[in-house]
Amino acid sequence: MIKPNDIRFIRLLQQWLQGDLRRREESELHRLAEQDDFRREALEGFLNTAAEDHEARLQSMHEKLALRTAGRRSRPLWPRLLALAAALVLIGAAIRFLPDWVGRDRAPVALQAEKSDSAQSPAQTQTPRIPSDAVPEKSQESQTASAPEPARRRAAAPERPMPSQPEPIALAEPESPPAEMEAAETAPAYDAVVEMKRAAPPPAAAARAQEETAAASQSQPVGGWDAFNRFLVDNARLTPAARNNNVSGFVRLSFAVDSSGAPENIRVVQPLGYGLDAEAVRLLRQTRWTPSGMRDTVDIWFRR
Amino acid sequence: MVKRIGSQPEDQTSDEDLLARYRAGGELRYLGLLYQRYMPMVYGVCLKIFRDAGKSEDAVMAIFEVLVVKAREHQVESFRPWLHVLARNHCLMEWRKEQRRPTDLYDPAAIPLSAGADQVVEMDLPPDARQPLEQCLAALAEAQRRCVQLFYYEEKSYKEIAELLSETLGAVRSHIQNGRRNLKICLEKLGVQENNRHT
Repeated sequence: MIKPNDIRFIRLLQQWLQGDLRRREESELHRLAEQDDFRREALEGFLNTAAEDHEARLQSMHEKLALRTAGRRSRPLWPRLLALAAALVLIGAAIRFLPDWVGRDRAPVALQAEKSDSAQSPAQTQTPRIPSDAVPEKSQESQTASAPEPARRRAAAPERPMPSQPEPIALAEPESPPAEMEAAETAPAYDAVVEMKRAAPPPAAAARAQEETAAASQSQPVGGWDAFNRFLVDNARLTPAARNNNVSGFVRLSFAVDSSGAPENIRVVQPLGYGLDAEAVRLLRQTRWTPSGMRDTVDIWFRR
Repeated sequence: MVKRIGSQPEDQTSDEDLLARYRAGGELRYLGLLYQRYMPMVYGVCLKIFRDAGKSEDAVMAIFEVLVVKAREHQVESFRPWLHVLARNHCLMEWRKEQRRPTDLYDPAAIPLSAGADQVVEMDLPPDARQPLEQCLAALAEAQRRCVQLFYYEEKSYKEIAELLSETLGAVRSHIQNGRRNLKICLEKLGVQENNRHT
């Protein structure tokens, strides 16, 4: 705690400024100053400066400080602006490029999803991904991270001056680790998918053509995959169990689409647990699809 | 000063504890509480260097901004001396920046730390100094004598003396200051030695 002598010194200083000081108190003030360098220099400053309403100055400084420190964080604004600018650039790029990629990669996913009884690595499925954080801005960024974006990661790196961030915050924050992981993990997923297509030997070309046809008859979410992903991002709710256990992963659901475009007969093909299966089903039920006459499969990702 | 320092519950927290809380969460509130404790002293140090209240006020706020960054970056053992040095160095740097050309008239860094000792507020005189003291008192200018008497013999405060003599506070202060100095000179001329200086 603050030294009692400092408290006394400042009190006597205040009295001196007001003129409300007697001989003994003045002696004490000077004695306290003599004992300590900081106090001595401070008192000299007051004694050697022309008469002035220092009290008013000190009051003004207290008020300025109060305003400055009222419930604010110390991080400067510009990293956030930088993150926002980067996010906007990426969203623009995603909007521009994503439809192409989505069209291409849906095919292998649809096929693999059908074959999901055999073990499939998550990286091979192109899926709508949602981070589990409730903050929309962050989620938005990570949703657009489905485009491989090493540049974005680089932009994100310098924005973390402080190592720790204990509590979840509602304010927009610079790039967060989950989003960065998102970018890192999505990139290989895309590579894997693309490589599979390219590496396929000619005999499989026929099979792929069939895939493409099959893909064409798969259900599409109304509004497109962008909207679907965005919906998941905005509405996903992590369960306490999942949060406490730092759960990350996907729930694979298979479903049919009824005449009104709503999913029906939803089955959990690959569960994740921690209450997230129910959450995935709940989310899916709210989406609408263009029917294809076949059962579809979709992976819904939850990520810390 | 806005609130009584030392009387609030948060004053029970140590400097280092407040600092740690700030470093942990980045909340300016904690750093603000910490800085408030020492703000008058930081202001005083700035006054010593700038000799200007306006510049000193600006410097106090600027030093806080420096603190916002440095308190995060540096691991500080003892906050109080670190703050003192930080404040002094900031003011010296600012002072030098403002000087278009090097000035030999006033260099704040050149003022020795003990310069304040010139402010003699009390003298411990031996008993036989009584007669010379009365002699010197009588030799003072009237305004100075009256103020010195009221302050030293009748233990009145500056404010009370100002009221009694219908003078301004500043005038009373300067009468007492000058009176003290003149007494000292007078007594030295008469060969009076102090017992020991504890001013």
